[in-house]
Amino acid sequence: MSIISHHDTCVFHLRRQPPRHFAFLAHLLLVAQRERERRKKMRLIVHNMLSCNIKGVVNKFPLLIEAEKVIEKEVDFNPDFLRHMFAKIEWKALVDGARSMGYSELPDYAPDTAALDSDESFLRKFHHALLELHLDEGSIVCPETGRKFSVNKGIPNMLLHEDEV
Amino acid sequence: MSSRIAEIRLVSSHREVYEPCDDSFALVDALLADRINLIEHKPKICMEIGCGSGYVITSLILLLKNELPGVHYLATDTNPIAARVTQETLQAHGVEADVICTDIASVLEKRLAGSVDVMVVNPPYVPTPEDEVGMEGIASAWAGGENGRRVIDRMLPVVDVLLSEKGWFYLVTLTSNCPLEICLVMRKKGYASRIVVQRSTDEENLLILKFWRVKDEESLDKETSSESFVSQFSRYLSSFMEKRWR
Repeated sequence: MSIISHHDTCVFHLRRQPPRHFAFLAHLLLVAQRERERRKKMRLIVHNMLSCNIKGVVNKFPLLIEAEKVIEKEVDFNPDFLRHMFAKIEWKALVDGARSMGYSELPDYAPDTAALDSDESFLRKFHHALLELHLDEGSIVCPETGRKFSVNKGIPNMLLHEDEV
Repeated sequence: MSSRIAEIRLVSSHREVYEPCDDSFALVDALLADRINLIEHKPKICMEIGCGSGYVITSLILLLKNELPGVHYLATDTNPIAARVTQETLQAHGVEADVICTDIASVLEKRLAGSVDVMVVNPPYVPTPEDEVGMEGIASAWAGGENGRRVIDRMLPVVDVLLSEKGWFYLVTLTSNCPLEICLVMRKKGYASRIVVQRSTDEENLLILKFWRVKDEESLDKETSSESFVSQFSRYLSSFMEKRWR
């Protein structure tokens, strides 16, 4: 009797295990997939470099952001890199871009370059807006014509139609 | 230790995207050969135009990332599928670059002018009928029109705009692209040049050229006198002809 019951538990055990393993594996795959998805996003550093290239358009920059979903991802903090990029960034475009992605901690006006050396809290905010905010889904829009460019899997598709070149 | 360049088994692929081949390997070899100089160069922004499978930009990141942490990498391709495949290759290697789908780099020219410290380009250089140029999909990876120069000639002024004062530019060419002529075009824009890697395969004769800006006319003459050009290329040509006749 005891042997049979032992056997029974074994069978039960075996029957129970596979689905559990599958569920665990599926969970791992899902986590990996999410992690992969998290990496494919358009950041404000790129937004600050893009301008609309439709023929005849004068007011090309900055493109407006229509964010449907925004996520954040941590990036290594590198003050040296930030100081270098600060000179190249158009401040208002960054502030407005960050706002349209739901982050409004940046000051309206770019601080003096001295702040880059002395004010770490400013540098952290700049870092966050520039590199850690990711446009998950949405589009970027030409400020003059209203033409929308889709951001798909983090890649802005800036290709023009034949009549726009 | 993580590998220094991209691993073929991790490079993503698609039937509409050019797979890493001799030309890609030669370009990465050129970057490897110049690695120490690149590290000393301390680039802040590196960029590839026409990233295709992502093999080259991924290799460049892996080459530099340990020594140079704060570098921004950009890659563009006119083929949306290639842009996606590049993202997948980058992710498979655990590195990051911002990928943009655009014709050459037209949407970046205004804002990124004078900012790129290292530019790498493996252009569509295969001589083809003119009407094959600018087609969608994988043809955009190789169709170069007459002498294979149609797209290269459109790229050179863009690269000139984007490169910073200290910018370096690596370009894959074939002998049938008339590389000497390309060097002279760039020389008029103030660039010196040299051959970093040369490779002859059964199908093609590849040259990886490197260009850099020279501040004044005088030192340009010193660094790339037309004599040194001619001698460099004639040496290359004679060794090539020798191989042919053998």
